[in-house]
Amino acid sequence: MGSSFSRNKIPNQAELMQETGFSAAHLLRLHERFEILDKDSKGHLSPEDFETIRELAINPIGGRIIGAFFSAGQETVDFSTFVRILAHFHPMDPNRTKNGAQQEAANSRTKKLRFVFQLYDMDRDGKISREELLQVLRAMLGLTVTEEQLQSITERAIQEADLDRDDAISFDEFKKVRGLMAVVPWRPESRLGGSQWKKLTSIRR
Amino acid sequence: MPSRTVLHRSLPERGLLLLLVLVLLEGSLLPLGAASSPDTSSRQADVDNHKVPEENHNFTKKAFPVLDFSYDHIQVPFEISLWVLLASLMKLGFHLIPRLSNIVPESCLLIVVGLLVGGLIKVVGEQDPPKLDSKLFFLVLLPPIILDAGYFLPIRPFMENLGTILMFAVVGTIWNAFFIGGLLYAVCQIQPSNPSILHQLDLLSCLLFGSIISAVDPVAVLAVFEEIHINELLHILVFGESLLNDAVTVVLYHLFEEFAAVGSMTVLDAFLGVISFLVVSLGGVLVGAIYGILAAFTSRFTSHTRVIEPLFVFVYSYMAYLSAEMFHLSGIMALIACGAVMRPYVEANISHKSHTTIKYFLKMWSSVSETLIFILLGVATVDGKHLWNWTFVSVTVILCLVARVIGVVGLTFIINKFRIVKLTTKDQFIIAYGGLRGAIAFSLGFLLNKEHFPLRDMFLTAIITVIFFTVFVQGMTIKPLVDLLAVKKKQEAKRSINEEIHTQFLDHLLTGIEDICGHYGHHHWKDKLNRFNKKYVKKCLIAGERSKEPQLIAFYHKMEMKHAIELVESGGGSKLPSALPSTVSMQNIQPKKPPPAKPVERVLPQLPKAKEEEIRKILRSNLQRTRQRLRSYNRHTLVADPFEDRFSDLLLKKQRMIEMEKRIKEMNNYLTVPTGPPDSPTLSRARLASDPQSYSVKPTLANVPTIQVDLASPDSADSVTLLDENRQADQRGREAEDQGLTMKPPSGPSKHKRAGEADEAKEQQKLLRCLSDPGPSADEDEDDAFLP
Repeated sequence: MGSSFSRNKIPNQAELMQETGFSAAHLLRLHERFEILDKDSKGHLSPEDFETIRELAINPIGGRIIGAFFSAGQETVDFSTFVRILAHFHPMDPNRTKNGAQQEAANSRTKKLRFVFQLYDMDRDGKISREELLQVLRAMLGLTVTEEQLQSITERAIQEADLDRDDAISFDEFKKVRGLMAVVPWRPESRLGGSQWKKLTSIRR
Repeated sequence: MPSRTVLHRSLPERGLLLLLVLVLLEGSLLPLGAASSPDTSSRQADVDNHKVPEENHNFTKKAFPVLDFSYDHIQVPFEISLWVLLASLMKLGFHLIPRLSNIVPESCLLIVVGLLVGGLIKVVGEQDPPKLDSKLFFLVLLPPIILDAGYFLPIRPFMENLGTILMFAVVGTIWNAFFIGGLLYAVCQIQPSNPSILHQLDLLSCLLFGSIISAVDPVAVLAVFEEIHINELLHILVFGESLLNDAVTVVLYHLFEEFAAVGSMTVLDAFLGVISFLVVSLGGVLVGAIYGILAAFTSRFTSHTRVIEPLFVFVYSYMAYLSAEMFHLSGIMALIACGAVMRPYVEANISHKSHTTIKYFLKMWSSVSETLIFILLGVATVDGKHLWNWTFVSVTVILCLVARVIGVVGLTFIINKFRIVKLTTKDQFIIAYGGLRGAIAFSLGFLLNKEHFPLRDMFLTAIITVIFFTVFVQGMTIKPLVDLLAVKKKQEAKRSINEEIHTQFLDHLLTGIEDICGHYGHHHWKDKLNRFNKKYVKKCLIAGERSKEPQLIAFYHKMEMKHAIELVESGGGSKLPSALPSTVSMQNIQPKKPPPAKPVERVLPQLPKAKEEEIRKILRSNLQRTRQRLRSYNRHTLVADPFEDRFSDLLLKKQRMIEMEKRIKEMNNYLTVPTGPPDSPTLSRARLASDPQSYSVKPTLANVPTIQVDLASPDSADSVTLLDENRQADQRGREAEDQGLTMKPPSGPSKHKRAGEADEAKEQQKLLRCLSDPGPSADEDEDDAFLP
């Protein structure tokens, strides 16, 4: 493997690789990043660690993204959880898709969409209510629009997507929004740019 | 009515009229006739732009010509107009025969027409048939098509697939050129026969020929692909490739042409060629971008001279093209860059009428250009000199196909390693099959110098054969093949507000994730660019309030305005039946801004129920008044545009509110209120006719009746049939695919636009006729913001 910069060994490495489809080099990179974020070397991340990322602070939905890592009232994120959540953004592992490719692909896509859905659906009731959509819009559009406009847009969005007329967008309706299915899968860590990547991934499994 | 009275007094009037005409005719012919008299008197009598032939008749008295025939001095414009007329009539004709246009792509038909016309010209024995002159082609016929493509280029898919497109364009074209050129040379060399003329061809000439023939042609691709409606990805791949390979073609062409004359080429030259390629492509883009920014900046100040707004767009773009051509940079890339760069800013600044004008003009010009190109190609085939050589031509055709297939397959193999959405075999087939050659290849061949290339005629013959083969065979069969292979077709429904919201959300999300990973990827840079754009560029280039408007809001406003206009068309405002014909006139003609509008505007933001009655009264009275106004306008009253826009917008809003009142249900008092001061340009920026299809609602409801304002409403059933037939009539044929002004209202508008309007649909059938017109197909419009 490439040079090991990480201070500690990656726990459950093989298991993580199997589960998430990241390669060893990727895991190494992520582990390193984990340790950079983990300033006090606690071995896990807290919300404050995430908030130090400057770009995340100016991201309109930065808070939500951070929240996505801390599911179910947990206070900290350990490396496994960190990797598992980031795995949502990993494209389908080519090794996996050999068997039952279509099904795998569909499942994987659905999983990713569900992740995104949960970012909207903060109270986890399985539906994006008007209020939740309004919050998202408010976050994204900021102060430049009036409240009435926000209301109108929300109104309209719900109108369009809500097929069963329950005044909220369920996951199935969410899936049907055109163009969403085309966006997945993503692969942020694989669009290799930095030289650091090249160093670490010199021997790729 | 004035017309009636004319008829009554017709006879003496007519006589007078006739006499008047005759006198005028004679008056204009008089200077012509006076040509025969001595110079001095003719000079005095003459109008300056009469090119009278100087005749040295010294006072020979001829009979005074009552009617004279002088063809020469109008010959050139006359012929040009005749050709354009012919082209347009042909286009018209094809769409009257729907079955034909379904089987045969238009380009084929046009070439056939060209062949016929060419044959006719030959039979008549005219010495000087109109040639597809390279100058004419590159300077006049090609730019409109490219500008049309560039201006309406869907930026987001283009940028997302830019890597793939560049690979195909650059590497693919180079591969094609060398493969074809090299193998042709080999074939020519091994010609067994007695000193075949083919032996004359040296390697460089073959490579030059290869580079000419290898480029995929945007005109042909556009012409064929537009009719088959394949999915966006494939369309943008092939089309993008055809646009971007211009730079490669230019460089290769010039390179080989230079050195074919000399006879040899060194490594240094090859190296310089590579550098030249970078200069040509990047330089072209830079030139285009500069002109684009200039145009955007200019458009910021045009709020008082709306009439000439489209002119700026056209002229700046054309200048970009010419400037690039001046430096031997890639004019096509300059044009595309110019159009793509200026579009988001210009659209934010100009009035919606200007936008419509631009769109229609571009479509019109590009359509006429395309028609002319194909017809002239046919003429050139018949009339040009040919040198047919079986080996050369057939080998060329075969090699083109083979090279294309190998190139696409090989490149896809490499590209798929980097792509997330991989290209399937079907995709590869379509991409390979869609590599059509067209008039650019012909023109480039035409440009060849006869002395340096004695076999130029053979080249031209081969080029024409390849063009015919690709356009006819591939063009005709691609549609059934697409159906056969069940290639994904273009999705009809366009972006909904949901999609817009979610796309933006995802962008933010992915940027955030990238930041967490510490990885500066695609999204990171896109986000940075967006921020830069919002912070600095938009402030410079967009006038007034619009610069602060977030893209989502702009999008939303567009949708709302479109809705509103649709409702008016479909029958909003049953309460003002008598006023509606005037509404039409008002939308087309600029009335002076009526004073009562002001209090209405001010009332708008608050809009308590009590005031609505007042507003309605005011509107009614105003509309009554305007009907009696003269339906005429001149250039100067058009300046009143901003007010006009606002007024009609207000009208629509009022009508919506009126309908809302009628509804007996829980009223969400969420009105679409524009931000900012009443004279905010936001209202007047409705992109009505521009992209009616772009923003209608989800596909599932697309086949649902058009004026579907409320699914449950019993009224809407009627409106369905009325508009539907209108729409269907329009949807025949490419050009007639009207999304011009008859728009499909989305099926689930917000509550406050519920259908009382549906009732009025019947009355408004006439309205539709007035407002709708077969326009260019709107599915070319991706009215995406520049940096979504």
